[in-house]
Amino acid sequence: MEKTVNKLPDEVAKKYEVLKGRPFKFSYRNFGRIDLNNTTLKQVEALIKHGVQHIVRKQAKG
Amino acid sequence: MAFQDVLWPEGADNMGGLIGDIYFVPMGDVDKAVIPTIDAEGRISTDIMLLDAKKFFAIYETRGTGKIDDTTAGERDGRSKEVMFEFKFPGDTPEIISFARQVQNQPGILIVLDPQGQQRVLGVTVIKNALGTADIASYDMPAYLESDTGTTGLGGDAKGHTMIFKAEALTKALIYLGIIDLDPTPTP
Repeated sequence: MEKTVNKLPDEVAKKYEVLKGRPFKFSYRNFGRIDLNNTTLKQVEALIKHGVQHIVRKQAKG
Repeated sequence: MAFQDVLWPEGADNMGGLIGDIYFVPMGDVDKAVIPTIDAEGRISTDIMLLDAKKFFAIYETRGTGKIDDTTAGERDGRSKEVMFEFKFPGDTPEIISFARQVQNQPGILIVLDPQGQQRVLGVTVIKNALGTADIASYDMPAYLESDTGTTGLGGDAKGHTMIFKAEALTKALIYLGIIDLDPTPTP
């Protein structure tokens, strides 16, 4: 089993988070294989726009 | 679901076959407590959820060898579908030999991609809910290996393994809008 620790790149992590227990590595239709450890903000927003449901905008603390 | 017009956009792309890898997950690795949603178009519109530390396995497919076939089964008033995914793996690697053994009696789910960018699923179908009023997804008709024929061929011949998976269903292979989980180490 892989021992990697999943972590969103800083620019992505400022705005988005991955739902608990959901994958960082996945395949998705026309996008092919995705690794959220190595994505840009632009790519993540494109994934969300095209229907990926387990990456969500961070809730404001308060 | 009501009848509707079945039209074809003039000049639309319509390339045959399958593209990319084939994805397989044993049915025992699926989180059956979370049933995917079927949308108004009859597509699976939410993710197929897996148990902790489980993932779909990718199998390479020689371009031009992958296809989906379906046929009508049963007699009048009892018709249904038999859906089959077929593809060819080109060589005799330890991985394909191991996969071929493990999958012989293993129910599972397969997902493939067509050249129109649609993911199609074998092993998840729709059934009516208890009231008979709506379609719900069901994991109770999984895909099984139907045939696996391998050959080294003679020199100059095609070599490899041609696998066919089959599932019974009420519909043709459903369109899947969700992600394919490839991550055995999900977010803590």
